[in-house]
Amino acid sequence: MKVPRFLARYALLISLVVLCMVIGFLNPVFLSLDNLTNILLQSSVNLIIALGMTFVIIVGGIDLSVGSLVALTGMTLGLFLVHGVAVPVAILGAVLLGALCGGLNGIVITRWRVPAFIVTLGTMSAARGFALMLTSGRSVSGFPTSFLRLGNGGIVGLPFPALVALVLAALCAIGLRGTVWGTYLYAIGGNSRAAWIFGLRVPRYVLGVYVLSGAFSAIAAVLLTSRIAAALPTAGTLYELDAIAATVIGGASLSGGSGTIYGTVLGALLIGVLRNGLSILNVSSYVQQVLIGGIIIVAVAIEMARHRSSE
Amino acid sequence: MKWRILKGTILAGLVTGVLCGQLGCHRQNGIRIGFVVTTLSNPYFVTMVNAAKAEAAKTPGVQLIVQAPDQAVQVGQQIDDVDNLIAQHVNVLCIVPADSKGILPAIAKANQAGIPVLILDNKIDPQLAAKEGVHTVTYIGSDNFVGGKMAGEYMISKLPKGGDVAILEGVSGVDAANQRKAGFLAALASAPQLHVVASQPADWDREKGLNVFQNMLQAHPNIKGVFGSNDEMALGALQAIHTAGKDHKIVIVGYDAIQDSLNAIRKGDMDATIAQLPAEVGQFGVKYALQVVNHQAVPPNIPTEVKLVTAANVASFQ
Repeated sequence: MKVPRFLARYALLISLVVLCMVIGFLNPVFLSLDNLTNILLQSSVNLIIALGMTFVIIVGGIDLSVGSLVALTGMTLGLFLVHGVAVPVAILGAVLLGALCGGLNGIVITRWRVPAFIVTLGTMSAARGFALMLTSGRSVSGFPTSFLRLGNGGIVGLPFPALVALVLAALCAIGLRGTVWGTYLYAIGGNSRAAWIFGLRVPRYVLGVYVLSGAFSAIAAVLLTSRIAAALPTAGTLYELDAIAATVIGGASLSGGSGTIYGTVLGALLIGVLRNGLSILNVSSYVQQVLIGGIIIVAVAIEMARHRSSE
Repeated sequence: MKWRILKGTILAGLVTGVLCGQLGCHRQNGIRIGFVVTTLSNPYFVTMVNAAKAEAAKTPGVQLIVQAPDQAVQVGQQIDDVDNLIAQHVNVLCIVPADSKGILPAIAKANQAGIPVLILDNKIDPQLAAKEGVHTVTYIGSDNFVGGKMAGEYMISKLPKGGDVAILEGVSGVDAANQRKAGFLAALASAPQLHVVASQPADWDREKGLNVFQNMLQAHPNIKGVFGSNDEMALGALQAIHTAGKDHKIVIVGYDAIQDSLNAIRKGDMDATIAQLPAEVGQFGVKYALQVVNHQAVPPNIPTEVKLVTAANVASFQ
């Protein structure tokens, strides 16, 4: 299949705009400023997790534990807060715990050479279990208002969670495109043996990527917990799939070596636009799942075609 | 050498275990009740299980074996749980079906093994059960239709001038979700001044409830009332209302009377919820399971109470 170069290059952006226009045409409310803000807000948790996932997928790994880490770090944060720990300290504690859990994933993957899929599948189950154990399955609520403002407030109409997501995305894009570190990640994902022979300390970089993924899950958990004003042990269920979907729609390859932050941002927005738009059009969530599944496949097919046409 | 001894020990252990299982040496002591709920990550079921345990502890020699899938929607795992209990030769089974149809094969297996089954809290599909020849002793639980209707009548009384109303549905295919919605709509049929402008599933989940209701508010800014078919979704809607700056302008009615929503009602953030008394369901489950084992007659339908909880009577539900 030959695709015109311009169309192929901006396929994702074009489909996002077309999708917005179609939904806006069917129900003009969709394009209101309030609703567009809502989409940013509703996409931000997934986007933050997907940013971490992008690094993991670029080095050729996968992290299935992110959703459960959202629950575990969120519950820990909630318990800190209701026991009177100062808000910044509690947040820092949760993010450190996320980084630690990610580090644990990374160590088992690099030291023991267990496939990332298996390791993070294990931690996915274990972290969920710990989250439930902390309170015997009960939710935690009753947080200070200063903490609740984080998820529900904003600056000049831009909600804090969206702001955090966009700032993190910008930092990630700079890290990936503008530093040697980013180049090394692509090199490791492209051919880890060659990178090793070239003299890169591959395990160290891989470990770092999982630490980042864990920390990003925890940041997402902080915003989510604040937004729903409660910490739930069931939070974040199946988030790993949304994050992987955003990354893959954005052009990352599960075999490693490719993927961009720009693509992941568009991927997360596309999923957010679909969920929000279909719900505004009163389409059932079942149809939403079918459409999101279809879009993942079409997006990857277009991406493959783009690769072939550029060769 | 060491490895050989280890292997020998393991093998001997396995053989003894299997022989023991075949001879049924664990069957001798007392009555064993298998108690399967949909999840233990929802406080509602934790309350139910605790009451069941307390009831079982009253009779010496009764052992309660509790099983639950990780997530409420996983009927497949629940079927495995029932299989495991059948393999352990429990005397009687109490099951809270995760899905009204999906659970039927598991009940059929229990029937074949001669283990009586009591259904708790969420009805099985009566037509399909009859068609597949699946047999259950009784249903113990509240009538979700009655509860939904109660919620609808309360909504009508709170909105005398009428207006737009939205429904957050549970996982569809589940009898409780369908019945609660049907009951709510039945009440609203007598109130033409209320219009249901949106009705969508939010899968019993708080964050989904928040997102779905936020979107509903965008599409229908004049919504005056929302019925969350469980409290988790109603609390999500509460958060969406708060974010939209419409505090106390929208009537919120939930279902289940979990602790978080009781707190919200006490604070005046939420208007009402429907209490189902899960403790009574758990207690009755064990009580009637023991009657079944002792060959006493049990009625085919044992209703437990539903109650409307508002600021006026919330203090008595702590």
